[in-house]
Amino acid sequence: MANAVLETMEKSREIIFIKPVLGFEEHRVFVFQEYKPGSPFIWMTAAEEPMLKFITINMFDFFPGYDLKLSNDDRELLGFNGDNALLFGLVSIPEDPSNMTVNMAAPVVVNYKKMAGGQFVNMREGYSLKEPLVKRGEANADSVKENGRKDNNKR
Amino acid sequence: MLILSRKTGEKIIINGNIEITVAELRGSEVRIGISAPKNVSIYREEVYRKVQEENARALVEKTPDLTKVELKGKKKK
Repeated sequence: MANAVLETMEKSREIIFIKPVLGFEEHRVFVFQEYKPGSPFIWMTAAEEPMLKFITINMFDFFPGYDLKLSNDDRELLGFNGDNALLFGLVSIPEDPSNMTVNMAAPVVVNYKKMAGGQFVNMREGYSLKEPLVKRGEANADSVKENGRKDNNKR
Repeated sequence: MLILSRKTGEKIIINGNIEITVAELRGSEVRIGISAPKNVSIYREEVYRKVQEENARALVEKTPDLTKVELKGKKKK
């Protein structure tokens, strides 16, 4: 079964990063590919450096109510609107994959119609850089019921 | 590091297209205005560092086996 999000990127799965992945500023083209058929995971690999790769998820697969707020400048830069955007979360996978987390605070946003994207810090506060992705038994099963967003008063 | 003195309202121009304004002084706090082309990334240092560290952590060195993990919020197939 093909990954639905990758199917959406029908024109090309090679995306120009107008805003870089922070810390990897010199890499401006990334390719999105499926991890395994039927898997929710998606590879994001630097086009010119295949060793530079990340595992990502389609944010809405896991957090349907995920809410991204960008500055007007960033929206304009990306030509972003609700219809052309895909949101990917970068997944950190430690030695024990059951402790894997996803970065909800700074997603990769792709305008798949323009084949343009970038990593943006979500201006909506309260999303974690390290949101657990794996079920921790029934007791915690609904710990992300509020779309993974923990409200806090920090400003 | 280049260090310049500026008064409130005075500016610094970088590279001809980035303008830094000292907007306001409030005790030990300085408010700074920045105008730059849209594709220039501007972050508070601590925000940048945190995201950069998490990105470095997310970088995959060895392809993990993710077929066995039971994921949150995923519909059963």
